[in-house]
Amino acid sequence: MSKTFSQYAVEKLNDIFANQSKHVGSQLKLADPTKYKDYIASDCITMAIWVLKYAFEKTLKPEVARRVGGLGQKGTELAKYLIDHQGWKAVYYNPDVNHPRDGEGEHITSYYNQVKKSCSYSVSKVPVSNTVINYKPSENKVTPYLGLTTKVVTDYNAFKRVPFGLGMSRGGLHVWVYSLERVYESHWEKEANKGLYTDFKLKNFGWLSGIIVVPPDSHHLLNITTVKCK
Amino acid sequence: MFKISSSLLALALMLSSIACASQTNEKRIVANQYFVKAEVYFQPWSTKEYGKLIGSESLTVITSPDKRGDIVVLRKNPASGGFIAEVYRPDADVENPKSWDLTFPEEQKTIDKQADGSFQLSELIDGKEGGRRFEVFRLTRPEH
Repeated sequence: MSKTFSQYAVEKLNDIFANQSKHVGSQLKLADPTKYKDYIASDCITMAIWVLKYAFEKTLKPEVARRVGGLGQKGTELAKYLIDHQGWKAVYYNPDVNHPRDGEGEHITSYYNQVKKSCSYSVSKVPVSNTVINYKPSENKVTPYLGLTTKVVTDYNAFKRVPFGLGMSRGGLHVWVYSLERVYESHWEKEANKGLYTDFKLKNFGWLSGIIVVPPDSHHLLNITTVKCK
Repeated sequence: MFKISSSLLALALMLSSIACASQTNEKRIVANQYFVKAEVYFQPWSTKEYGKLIGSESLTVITSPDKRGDIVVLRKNPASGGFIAEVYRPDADVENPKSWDLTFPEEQKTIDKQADGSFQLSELIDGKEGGRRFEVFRLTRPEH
């Protein structure tokens, strides 16, 4: 039986992390092209594009792989293309919609004014289908008139089973890869095996709201809260 | 986090449980102990960069030969002059765990094994000037 898109994506992700010795952060290579001339430049969206292109090529969609490569400059445009043309679904994440740990109102606004009100994310209006929220509430109040948020992990735990997704935060300013609860990042100022690639749990992620776009082969795993707009 | 007396009790219980679970062998290793100098980094909220090196920390890290075992971290308590023990538990139902969550205060810190072989012990610091503080260490030569 042939592999799914997600299986190919994870295969490529694992390969990048396991065989990173000839990779270098794109900012480092830009700063010293002679030193790193034999190294492949990596950064957050570049790594995500490698993974997507590989999986689309392996699932016999070379034209989509090319298109995805061309959309690499803007995360939300890439997300909209995957949703509108490839049937993907966006899941909004936010560990505490009322009291963001960084005190930034953007995380409150993105939930109440965008996701809840218009079922979309960012000014680019990426359609949102589901939410995973309030899984790691802050112990400090940011919105004075609201009580501390009650921790809810049902959706978070269900979403852990999703094998692959394309993540983005702050309206697509940062792009990353999601797999089985973990956030996979490429850091553009680091060398291989010295912090270039890191991964940790979504609940410990320092970008406190955003979306994770999930391919159709995992939609049966999205037994989580759906968003409904009139 | 516990003070050293209770932590030693927890550690003894953990080691004895590991020993009981091991094969009968007089040379069996019930735990690996590492003295490490961790690099401490701070990554402000919403930054793409890895984080800035802000210092170092001496830690004693105790692991089990069993991949699914707990990890115990002992660190100096500047207030008392003694030690603080932190017990980290791996994710349930994961054959090869990559993360261990602090048991008390629950999930406030996490240890993540990285692809380059290092470990990151991280916690989130609330506030506009906060972010992710993490300690990076490698477990290379256990002391027996």
